[in-house]
Amino acid sequence: MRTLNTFIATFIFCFSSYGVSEEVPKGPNGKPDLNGVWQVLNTANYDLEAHPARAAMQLVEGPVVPVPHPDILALGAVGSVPAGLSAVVGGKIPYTKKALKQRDENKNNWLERDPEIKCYLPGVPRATYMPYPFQIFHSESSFFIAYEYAGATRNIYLKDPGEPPVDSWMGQSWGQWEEDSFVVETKGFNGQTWLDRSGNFHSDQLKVTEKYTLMNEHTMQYEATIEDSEIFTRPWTIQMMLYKKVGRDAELQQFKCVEFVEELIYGQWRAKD
Amino acid sequence: MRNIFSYVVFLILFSFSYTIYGHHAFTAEFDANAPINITGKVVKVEWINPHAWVHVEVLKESKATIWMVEGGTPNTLIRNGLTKNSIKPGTVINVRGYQSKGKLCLPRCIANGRDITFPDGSKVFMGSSGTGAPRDGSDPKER
Amino acid sequence: MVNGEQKTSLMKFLFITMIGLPLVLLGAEYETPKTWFGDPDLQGTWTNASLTTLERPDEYKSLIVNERDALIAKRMTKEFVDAQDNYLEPGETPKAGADVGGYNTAWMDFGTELFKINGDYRSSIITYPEDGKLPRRWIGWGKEAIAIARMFRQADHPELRSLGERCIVGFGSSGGPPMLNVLYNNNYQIVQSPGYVMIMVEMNHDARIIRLNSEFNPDNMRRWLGDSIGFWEGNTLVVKTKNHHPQQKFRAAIRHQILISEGAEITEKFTRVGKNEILYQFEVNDDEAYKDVWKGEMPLRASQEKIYEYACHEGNYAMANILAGARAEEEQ
Repeated sequence: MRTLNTFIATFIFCFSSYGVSEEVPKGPNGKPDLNGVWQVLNTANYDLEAHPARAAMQLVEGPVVPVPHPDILALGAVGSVPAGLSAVVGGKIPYTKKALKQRDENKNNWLERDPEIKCYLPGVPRATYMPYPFQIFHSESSFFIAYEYAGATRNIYLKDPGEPPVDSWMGQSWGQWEEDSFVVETKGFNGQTWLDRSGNFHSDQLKVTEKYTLMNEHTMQYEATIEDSEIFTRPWTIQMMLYKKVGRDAELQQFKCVEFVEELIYGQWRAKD
Repeated sequence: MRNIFSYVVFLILFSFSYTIYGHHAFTAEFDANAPINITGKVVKVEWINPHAWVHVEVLKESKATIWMVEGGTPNTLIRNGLTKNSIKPGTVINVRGYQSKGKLCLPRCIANGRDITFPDGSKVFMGSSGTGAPRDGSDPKER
Repeated sequence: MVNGEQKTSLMKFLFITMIGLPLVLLGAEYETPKTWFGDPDLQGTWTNASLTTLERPDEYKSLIVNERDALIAKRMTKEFVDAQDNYLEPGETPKAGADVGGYNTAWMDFGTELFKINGDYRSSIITYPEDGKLPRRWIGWGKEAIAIARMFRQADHPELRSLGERCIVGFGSSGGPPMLNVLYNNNYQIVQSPGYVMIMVEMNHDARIIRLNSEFNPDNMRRWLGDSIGFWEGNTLVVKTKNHHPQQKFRAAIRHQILISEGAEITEKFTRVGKNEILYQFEVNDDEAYKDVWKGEMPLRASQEKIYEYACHEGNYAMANILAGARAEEEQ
C-alpha cells in the first residue's frame, strides 16, 4: 500500500512539474539566456484555429467533394494540409461579423491574396511560427531576431522609442523583462500581413504583445496577445512551444525567396522571344 | 593580345555613361522625351522602399487624374524627423519630372519626382540642413 | 611671492607634465570592452557614409588628402547638392531629351566629407594597390561584359537587372563583402551572441550571421552575400567569406563598380579603435577578375540614428514599371 502511494505521489509530482521552469541557463544581466536557433513544431502557419487535414489550401467545387484548385492540383499530397489543434486560447478567433466575412473571403482566395505566396515579409506574430527557424541574438545592449523565412529581421528596442514614424511589415518592437519572461510590444503595422495561410488577418491598428518564457534549456513557451479593435471584438491570445535546434541543425540557412517569385510576379512583362 | 581584346570588348559593350547623379534604373523606367510639370493635391503618401510614392490628384478641365510620383528611400527622411503625418492629404504640391515609358495610366499615371516643391518653390522633402546630407557620424556635435 | 628656487621647480614640473602627459596618453591604447560572454564588444549601430569612394579619383595623387583639399571636396558637395536640387528655374518645365535624373538630394545620405583614419583624410577606400585603383584583369571583366551591358541597356527579364532593382540585396556592395558605402542607408547594426557575430545591413534587411570557429558549408550552397565564418585574433574579428552567389558577381553603385567571382576569397577585419569607431579592413583575393589582391579600409562610425525597415520587394512597383516600360517602347 505504501509503495503504491509513493508511486502515485511520484507520478502526480512528475506530471504537475511539467510546465514549471527547471533551472534555465542564464544569459546577459543574469536573465534567462534566449540565444539560439528556435522553431515551432506545429501547423499554426496553416491555420491558427483547429483544422482537420484537407486536400489543399484552396479548394474548388468537385463532382462529389471539393477538390484542389487547378493551380495546386499537380502538387498532389505535397500540396495538402495537415491537421492541427488550435493555438488560440479559447479555440476561436473573436472576429467582428464583418471581419469574419472578410476572413472567409481571404481563405477562398488564398492563392491570390496570401502574402506568403509572394514572399512578402510575414509580420508578427506569424514570423514566429513559419515552418522555418529563427535565431535570437540576445545581449545586454540588444535583442535581435533573424528569421530564415524571407530573411526577415526584427530589432527589439530595449526602451520604448515612442510612436512609430511610419508603418511597416514587421512593426516597431520594444521589449523588457517581467521577472523571467521577455515581453515585447509591437505596433506600427501596415495591415498587409496575414496571421496564417487561412486568411486570418488584421488591420493597421494591430498591436501584439509577445511573451517569451524559457522553460528549460531547449524549450520556450511563446504567447502573443493580439489587439485590433477594427477586426476583433476583444483581445485574444495564442500559445505554443518553441524548440531549440542543436548541433548541425542549429544553423539558419538562407531562404530569401524573392528570386523564386519573380516569374510569378513579373512573368507577364517578360520580353517575348 | 587577349587582354587588349577583352578590354576593348568590355569598353564597347559597357561604356559607363554615369553622370555623377546618373541612376540607370530611372532611365529604364522614365521617358526622357515626356517631361511633366504638374500641380495638384496630395491624396496619399506611401512611405515604402525601395521608393516612396506620392499620389497627387491633378485637375485638368474638371477631369481628375491621379499621378503616382516616385521618390527615394523614406528611411533618410525618417531619420531627419519626417513621419507618415508630415505630408497631409490635401496639401498642394508641384511636381516636375518625367513620365514613365508605359503611358497607359493604368491604374495611375506614373512619373519620377525629380523636383517636388510647394507652390512657393520651397522643397517638400528637405534635409536637416537643407542640403539633404544628414548625419554621417563625422560631426562630434551630432552624437 | 615665488622665490627663484620655487620658480625653477615649477618650471620643471610644467615641462615634465607638458612633455610627459601626451606621451603617456599616446601610449595608452583604447581598451576594448567585452560582451557578457567575454568576446570583444563590437555591438551598436554603425555607419560608413562618407564622400570617400572605393577607387581614388584622378584628381588625388595620394592616399592621404590634405586639409585644404578635403575642405574643397566638402564645399564641392554642397555645390553639387545645390546644382542637383535647383537645376530648374521656378516654374520651368524639365527639358525633353535631358537626363531624367531621379529625385532631389533630401532622399540621399552620402556623407558630408571624406573619412579620416588616424587623423588623415583619405582619397580612397583602396589602400593597395598603391595607386588606389582596382587591379582589373580585363579577361575576367570582359567575360562579364555582355551580362553587364544587358543589365544597363535592356529590360527583358527581371533576373537580368541589378540585384538592388530586384530587391534581393542592397545596391552595389552595400551588404558586401566587402561592405561599401552607397548613396543612402549606409547603416549596419552589430549584435553578438556566444559563437556568433550578426551584422544587419540596412539594405536589404540582410542579417549576415558570422559563425565563429566554424567551417564553410559545401560549395554548392551559394548564398547571397556569401558564406562567412570568423574567429578572433586578439581584439580583431577576422571574417572569411567564400562561395559567392553566381548572380552576385557584378555589383554596381554610383560610388563603385566591382566584380566578385564565385571563387573569390574575401577577408574582413573589424577592430574597435574607440568608443565611436570600428576600423574596418578588407582584402579581396580574386584571381579570375583581378591581377592582384586589393585591400581597403574605412571607419565605421557610431550612429545615434535608428535603422528603419527596408522592405524592398514588397513595394517594388519600379521593377514592374521598368519591364512594362520596355515592352511599351518595343511596341512603338
